[in-house]
Amino acid sequence: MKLKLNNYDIITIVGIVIITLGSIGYLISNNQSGRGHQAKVYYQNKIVHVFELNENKREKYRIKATNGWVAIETDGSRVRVVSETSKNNYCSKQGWSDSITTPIVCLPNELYVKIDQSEKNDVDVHIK
Amino acid sequence: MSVKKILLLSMFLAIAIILHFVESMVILPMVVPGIKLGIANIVGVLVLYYFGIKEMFLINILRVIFASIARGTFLSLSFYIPLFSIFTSMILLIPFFQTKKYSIFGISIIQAVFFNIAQIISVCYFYQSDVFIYYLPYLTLAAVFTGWIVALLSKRLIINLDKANVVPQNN
Repeated sequence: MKLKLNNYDIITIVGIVIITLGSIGYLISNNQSGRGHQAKVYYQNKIVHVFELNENKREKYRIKATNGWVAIETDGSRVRVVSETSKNNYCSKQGWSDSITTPIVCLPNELYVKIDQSEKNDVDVHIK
Repeated sequence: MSVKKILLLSMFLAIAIILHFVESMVILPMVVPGIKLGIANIVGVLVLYYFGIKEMFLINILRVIFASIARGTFLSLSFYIPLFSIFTSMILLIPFFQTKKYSIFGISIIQAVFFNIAQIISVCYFYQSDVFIYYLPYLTLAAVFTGWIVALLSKRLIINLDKANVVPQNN
């Protein structure tokens, strides 16, 4: 195995970076904001709570998860984990999420928050 | 396997386990879960360079097993996910390594990318959800950076180890 960077390495690295940046660009362009959606709280692969993100009200929910209490709140269109017990506190550090492509994942607590299309808002047009 | 080779591999394994622990103590200011510098992989790259792919397999698998036993996470999800990820990434690395066309940089980055892909697949499988797939592009981009750093540090170490003749060639 050589120690010096060569053309094969460069082609591979550039290929990976192009594919990755393309994927990130696709995710960003399909980034739908949270209003009219639902934030579903999953604990141990089961839905334990659903926030409706189409109302202008703050809502809080607490659940006793694997490592302790996890507090989640919404401000109408966004959702965040306020506090939780874990080593790195990634999910509470992540802050607000309002997008389908940005779930909040808290693996040490076996919990995640996924933003989905609201089942109540499946109708596109009302015909009178 | 000669006694000298067993001794050297044991030392590499011990260093890998220590680096594994050191890494778990360092908290990177990242918002994407799963991003790690992977400094324990430096040992894997060194073993690959000096001994070969079989020995790298052995050291990496034993590192995950011993580190998880010491941390009390043996046979838990924190054990199965890295075990599956490291195993899969090394299997996928074999054809790239055998072409003998890639340098230490290409090999390190390819392994880091495959590790993160396998990690996401295993998390999706264990949690029965595809929600984690959104992290894949960010983790892959991070893998290019961390793989590069690991290769850079490994190269530095190899140059110094060769100068000191610590690990004789053709083991």
